[in-house]
Amino acid sequence: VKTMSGEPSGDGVRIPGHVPPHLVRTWDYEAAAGAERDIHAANAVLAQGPEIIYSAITIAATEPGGWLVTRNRLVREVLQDPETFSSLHLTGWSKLLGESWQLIPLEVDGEDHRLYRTLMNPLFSPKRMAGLEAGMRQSAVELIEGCLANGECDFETEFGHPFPVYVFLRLMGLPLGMMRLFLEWEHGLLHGKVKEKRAAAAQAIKDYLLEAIAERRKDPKDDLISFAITSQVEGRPLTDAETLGICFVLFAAGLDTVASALGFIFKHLAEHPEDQRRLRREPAAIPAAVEEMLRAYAVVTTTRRVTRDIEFHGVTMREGDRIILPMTITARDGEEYDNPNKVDFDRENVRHITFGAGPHRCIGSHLARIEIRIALEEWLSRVPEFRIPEGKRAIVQANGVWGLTSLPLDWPGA
Amino acid sequence: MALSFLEAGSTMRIRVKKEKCAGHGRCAAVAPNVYVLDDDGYIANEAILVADYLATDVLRGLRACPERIISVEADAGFRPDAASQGDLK
Repeated sequence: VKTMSGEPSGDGVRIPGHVPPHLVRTWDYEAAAGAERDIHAANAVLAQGPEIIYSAITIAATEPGGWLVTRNRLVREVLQDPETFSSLHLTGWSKLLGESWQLIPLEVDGEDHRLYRTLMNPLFSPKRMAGLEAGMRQSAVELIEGCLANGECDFETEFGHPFPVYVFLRLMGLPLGMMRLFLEWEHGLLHGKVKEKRAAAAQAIKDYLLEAIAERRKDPKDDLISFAITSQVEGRPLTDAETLGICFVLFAAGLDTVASALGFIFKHLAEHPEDQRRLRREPAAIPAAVEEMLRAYAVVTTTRRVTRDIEFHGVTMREGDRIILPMTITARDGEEYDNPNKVDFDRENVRHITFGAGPHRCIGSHLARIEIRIALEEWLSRVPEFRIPEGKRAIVQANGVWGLTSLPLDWPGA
Repeated sequence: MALSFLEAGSTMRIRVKKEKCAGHGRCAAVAPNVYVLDDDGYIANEAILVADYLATDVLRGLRACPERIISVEADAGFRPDAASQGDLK
């Protein structure tokens, strides 16, 4: 989920009085030395500095500034303590529209959160997700066949973005023909440079989902929206606002994140032909390789808000302070991983928090793992050895969810 | 893998802080013969007793847990320093 954007705000940044000046940073991920080559490795230095710094420019819940936690174990501690570190108003998306509905279960705390998760967990369980595999594979194959004969493609445009959108449309029971519009809205919401553009996208998504919800009320089908409107919490049916909150978060959380992870993974394989050859030779090694690449190429930063004045690992935090949790940085934490910048498919410790930790663990994690595994299986069995063509390069951005705006690939062996 | 804290023929007792399970499902993904998930995708049991020939799988699942809520002890030859932290390397 996009919960912060790294764009410098320039003016108007107010550093709270209790923040010690020596902890304040204006760190720009994209400007780190070597970032255009390997943005994760370039920013891993943050995990070697102070455990907690105050980032003046990082946007958290639509406002700049917050405590940025640079160690794996501390991020885990924050995520496992939702009473001290709240998820309320985490994204600020409904606020963009001047409204107050919540993203469910993402922005909900405590017992209400537990009730929503209990309702939704079976829908996203490993078993349930495995049942969607055939449909996902069909979408992946269609997209690959669409560019295979060309001998080249922009991976993100032709596969990385459309593939998770197809999966989402199938899951929600929406027409696959909506692909183009959904890609447009997704881009506007998550990468719109100005607030008006993000708000317009949020409005378009909201209107479309509310219409789909109204249609399902009249004519229920076997899909997630129909499930949501016919389910109950505490003996009452879900309201339209709650159903919207659920559908909106699935849209916003499931598309860009998977596209980004796929982008970094395929960039890695294009730049490391030995790793690519190994997975072609040994497809059974793909699930472990997926896990290690999820570890190394985390794309999400989430945020929390401090609910009471506390001392946290030597830092004085006040009620209302924002906490920024960059899994992109803690993925390369040397305290947790030996040689953290090395991608090693045989690594023994691949336990990671790329999908978060604690009660808000990414509900789509099992879906995402299957999407990535299928993408690898189908690409490696259908497309000859691919690389980044000479004279071209991948373009990486760290505005919000880290990802690739372009990943040119070709396969001269075709 | 060093399993010297176990005596041959003993049983292993796995304890899971079930209320802290966040449903990552990694334990069952890497060691499905030891760890079982419920219909929600969360760990089904808080205590699991297994024969020690499954020790490799037990530890594989323990080490895969991002929440670090799995610990293991053996009925005989138990070395708490090696077994109880959920943090074996």
